[in-house]
Amino acid sequence: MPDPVALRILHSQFVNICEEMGIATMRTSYSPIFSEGLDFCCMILNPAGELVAMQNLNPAMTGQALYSGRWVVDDVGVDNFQPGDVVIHNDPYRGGSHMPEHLVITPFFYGGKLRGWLCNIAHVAEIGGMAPGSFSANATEVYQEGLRLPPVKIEERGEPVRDVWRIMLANHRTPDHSWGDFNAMIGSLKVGARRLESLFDEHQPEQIERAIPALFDYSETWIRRDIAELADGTYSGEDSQEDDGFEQRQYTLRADLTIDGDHLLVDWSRTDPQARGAINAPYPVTASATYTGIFQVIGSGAPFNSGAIRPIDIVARPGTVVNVRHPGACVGGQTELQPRIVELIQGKILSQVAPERTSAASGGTSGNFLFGGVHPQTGQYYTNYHFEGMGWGGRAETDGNNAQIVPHGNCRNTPVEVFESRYPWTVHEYRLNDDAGGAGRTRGGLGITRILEVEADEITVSALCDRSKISPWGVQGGLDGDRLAYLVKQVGSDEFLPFSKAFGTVSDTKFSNVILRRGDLVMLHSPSGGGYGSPLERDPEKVADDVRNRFVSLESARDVYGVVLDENGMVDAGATDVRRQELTDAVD
Amino acid sequence: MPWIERTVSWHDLGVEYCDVTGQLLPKRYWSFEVDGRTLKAVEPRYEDLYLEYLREAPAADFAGE
Amino acid sequence: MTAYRVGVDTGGTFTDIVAVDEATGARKTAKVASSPEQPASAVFQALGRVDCEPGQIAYFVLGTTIATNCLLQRQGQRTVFVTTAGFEDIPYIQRVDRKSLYDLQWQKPEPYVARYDCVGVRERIASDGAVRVPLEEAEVERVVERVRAIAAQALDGIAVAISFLFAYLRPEHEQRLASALRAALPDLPIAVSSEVAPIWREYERASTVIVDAYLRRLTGEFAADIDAGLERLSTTCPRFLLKSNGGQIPTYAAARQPVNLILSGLAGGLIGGQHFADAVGVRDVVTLDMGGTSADVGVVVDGSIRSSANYEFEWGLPIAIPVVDLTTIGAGGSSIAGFDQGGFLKVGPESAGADPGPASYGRGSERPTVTDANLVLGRLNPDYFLGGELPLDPDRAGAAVQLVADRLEVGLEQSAQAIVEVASENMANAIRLLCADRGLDYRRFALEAFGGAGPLHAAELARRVGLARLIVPPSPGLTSAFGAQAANLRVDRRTTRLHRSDITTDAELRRALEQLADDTVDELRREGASEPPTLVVTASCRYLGQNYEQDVAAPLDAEGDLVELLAERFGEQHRQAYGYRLDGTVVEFVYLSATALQRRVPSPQPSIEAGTAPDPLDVRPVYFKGTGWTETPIYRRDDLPATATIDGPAIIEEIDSTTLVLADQLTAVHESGCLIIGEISSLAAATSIEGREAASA
Repeated sequence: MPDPVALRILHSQFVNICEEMGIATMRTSYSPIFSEGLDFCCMILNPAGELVAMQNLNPAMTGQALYSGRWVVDDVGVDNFQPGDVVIHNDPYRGGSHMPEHLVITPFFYGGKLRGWLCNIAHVAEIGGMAPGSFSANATEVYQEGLRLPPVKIEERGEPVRDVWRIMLANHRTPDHSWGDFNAMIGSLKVGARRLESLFDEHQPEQIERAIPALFDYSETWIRRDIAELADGTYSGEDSQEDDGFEQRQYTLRADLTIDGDHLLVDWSRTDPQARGAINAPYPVTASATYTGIFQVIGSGAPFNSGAIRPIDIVARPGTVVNVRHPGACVGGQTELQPRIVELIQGKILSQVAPERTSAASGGTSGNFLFGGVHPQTGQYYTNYHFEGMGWGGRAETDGNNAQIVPHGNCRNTPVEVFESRYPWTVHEYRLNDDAGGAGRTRGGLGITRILEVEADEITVSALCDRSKISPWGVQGGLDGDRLAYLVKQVGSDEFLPFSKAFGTVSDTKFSNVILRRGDLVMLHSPSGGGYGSPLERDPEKVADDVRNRFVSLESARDVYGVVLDENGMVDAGATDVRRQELTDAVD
Repeated sequence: MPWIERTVSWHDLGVEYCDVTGQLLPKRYWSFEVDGRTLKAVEPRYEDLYLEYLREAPAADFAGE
Repeated sequence: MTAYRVGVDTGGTFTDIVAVDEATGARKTAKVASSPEQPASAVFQALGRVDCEPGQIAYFVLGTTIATNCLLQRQGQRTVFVTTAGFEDIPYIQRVDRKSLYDLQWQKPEPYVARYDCVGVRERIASDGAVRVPLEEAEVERVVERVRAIAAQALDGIAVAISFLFAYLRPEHEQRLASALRAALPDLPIAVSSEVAPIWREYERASTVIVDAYLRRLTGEFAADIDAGLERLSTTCPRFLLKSNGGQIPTYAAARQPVNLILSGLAGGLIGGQHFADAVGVRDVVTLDMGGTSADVGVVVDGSIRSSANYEFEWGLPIAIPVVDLTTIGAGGSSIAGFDQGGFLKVGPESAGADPGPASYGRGSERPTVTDANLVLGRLNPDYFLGGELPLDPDRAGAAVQLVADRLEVGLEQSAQAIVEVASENMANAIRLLCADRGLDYRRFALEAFGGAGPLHAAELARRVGLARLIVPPSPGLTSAFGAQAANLRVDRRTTRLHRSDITTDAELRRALEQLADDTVDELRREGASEPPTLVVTASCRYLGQNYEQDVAAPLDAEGDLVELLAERFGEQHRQAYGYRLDGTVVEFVYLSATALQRRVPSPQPSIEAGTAPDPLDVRPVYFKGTGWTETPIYRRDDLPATATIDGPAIIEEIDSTTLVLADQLTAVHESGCLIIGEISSLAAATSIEGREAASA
């Protein structure tokens, strides 16, 4: 093995290059999903297409980072790449995740020889299809979800391939944004290539090529050791997506996780067949989420590369929700199935072997709410892909965080002041949901409520979310968190109703192209995390503090936590003992 | 038990899946025989995976679907 | 009579003082241990130690960590947050992202305000600045009573932070409430967002205003202590604190906006760095201020310190005001070397601090640090650390580094070398990212290294990053204190106004910029400026649809259409930074900024006498990668005359720092006392050193 210190330094230089690519992307892109949301990742692959290093901004993309580049290279054929070529790709049926996520990849040559690949994967906000924002809950085929691109060259020897550009731009609703965003992605590859070239100048190419397998080995060893520390056995669990937008039926994911020494296998074979609606996931998406669930529990700090996943195998049967076959729709798999997978793995399965490192369920949905129309002030067409934070699950020692983005992603919210400056909505409220976290020894975090008013003659809205019927679960005796509710109050109506009641949509959480009028109100009420451990074991002082801060109501303190407070809000220790005994007896 | 090269015409956009893991099958894949059937896998180590774990898990046997 | 400009810098370990003779530029210095328990007392101890009478002080400037420590230790005043009804939870919701992707145990940053102290007000300004919900008088009274009630039950008093939605467009609601509160509760410290940080993004603005309110009382008391202490010394000299933007503010005004003091303890280094870069005629430098626990990396571009409005006090707690553009990483002399779970060597961010400090301090720690590694390598002189005041124990250093050697299964020296290299790579990464984030090509920059530990690591670092030249200022350990006294009076204001090149007229844009310029100049006057200030006005521009902006200078005296001029200048800047421009695309002006400066007349830069290099004071074996133990000449910095040149490898020692020169590097002594170090192979660097010497001769 090469000198370990040199190896460590080389690893950090690789990551540094990816970070510089990320900065270039962020600063030049057009869509808020890039610049505020940071929904992209940059990476370096070796000549075989294996992942050497990445700037990981979004765990949802790790599966693509590991598989998509490799498969694209296989599909195009190494010999068909020239220096300066850039291939673009978003096809879920040729190694992509969902269609908004685009991969751009360019070969890196040094001394006349192929030495690796530079890639950027990013969520492009609008790519056509049946609904503005390219996120239709009513799609049944990939053809309705936007423009599908098999791996094709968008630049050839450094020059744009105009015919491909023109086909793409003609099929996107906001082509000026696509133009800016794709240029930002391709620009980042050039930044990366420049830096990689100086790295190869600094070290000998042979030295770098010897070091990469050693880096893979290093990560592999780390992960194997962590797996070996877990008790051998097969552990199973299941959780469900509440509907697919077409039928009122659940789709259940079932995983069997086997630990055998330093090897870990996750078998999804018993999962339900694929849905008609857009909640399905192709293999890289399932893999992303499975790895995320595992790496939330083991391998903390390990350099992430193709070596890190060698000890882990994932089996996903084609034709199921977790490995959709062509031409099934799949835009929601990336955003809705991923959190279900992540938390099933860590919170229901690995919790059986390492409960102290796992958590109760989070709200578990991206809460996608999409809208578009013509802006009354500018007369220009706009679309936006909006999502909400929610509560996370309680953990062994600490309460779940309030208002956090879904666990498989890491996007930031769009500030109210930015949102209103760009889109014709007024936000009336943006607050935490009091008393909504699952009760427990540690409490689930609180979800959010946002109330929006339409400020244009019409806005077309769509939603793709979950957890309105199946609550985020508590663990170890903790209670469930509050559910999601996306509601609408039309002008002339005096109450907020589910979209199914107001507009006759099949699902309350998965619908597309509903037309709202000026003055209509929408309430986006996001779910809250589950609790961890029995609420009767929660420190009464913490409950008193929660009541003071309205995280918990006085009634819940008394009836769920068994904590009685005096008129000054202080814990009445005697009354609390009595009350907790009563609640314990009632259960027994 | 050889490596097999698949030749696919440029206008054929169909895909095949790994019989063991469900991943996409690359142009060059590993073929192996078990219980009288020929299975296709991404790499040779999946042959062991099949034999060691999946053979006994009926739900996991989706070869040839 | 001799008059001195006095700069003081309070660090975590030491408090440094520099007194500069106004007429000659001659410097007197002293260093005392800091006094974290009573922050002001070390300042007066330092004043007592430096050889200058209180009556001789022309003015006094202090860079202080008082605000930083108050936030770190959460010792500020209970704060009530008053905002638009419906948005009381903004400090808790934050931006919904998280610091680490896979860390399930991570806890969101705790706001500096309790949720029960967040008060909603019925009012609303719309995104175009129109009043959507008027603020009724009855509502003002209700809120005043609510605040009065909270104040009545708070034993130690409260402060109030006001931040309404879109107040940066229309501050009148905020102002009316603030006036009503001031009238009803005259002693209440009140921070108002439209005054402190009139920029968009409600969380960033709220976070900034809350911190400002939270700090007011403590910083006020501290400033009063400084005043009282100086008065006890019977000096009536003007006295200032250093601000985060690199300006000075009189002590009497410091508590008006204490959020401006958060980087007070760091800004001095950058200003000192700028001063010495200027003295040797270099316009573009990366500064490295490396001390015991951390390294601060900054940039001086075309002779100016850059400012940044994206500072976060800790991850997720933004302070959205212009501050000197710095990034801090956990790499210092006391940074601890250890191993990650995969077995890779890592250095920092964990630190042994000043106490117990590195193993070689002999104060009970046995864990290897960067200082211990340098001692093992023979780079540090155990008998001349801090001029001999703090003897180092090489045996303890060796024993500590041996722990790393055992694990790496290599020799002691190789292990020490590895520790130094990993620390160096951490700093290299920080430099590359800082520059990349600002669109700067670092390869054209010089490195300027100071702080006690900077000059020891800089030669290797410059080589690693590919910076052709290295500058080491005189008394590198005191650069921050020197910088404090060299700072100007300075006010920065930044405000959000969405203007578009296709809608906004020249007259509208000029009016907005002129208003901002006037406000900025007024504030500088309130902070004590007596002369007409220098004014720089900028608009931050982006193509409509982009989300990040670039500052473009807006010359108010320019002829013609200012909107067109800015759009043109922006296009050119964009092309230079990213390789393309999008002519015909609408340009959006997001922030307008103004900086008003009253420059101090610089004290003269004294020249040291010219001569040739003396013989080395000593020769000792020093370990280098590649050549191993090498007999290396040792020089005393004070002995080196201007124009002297020294071939590497060499070590140059002085009381507060040690400079390491590698083989194949050449050191030239500049008449300002700065060392200029370049690669011998790099002809360009060598020529420019000679060229500058010729010019200065």
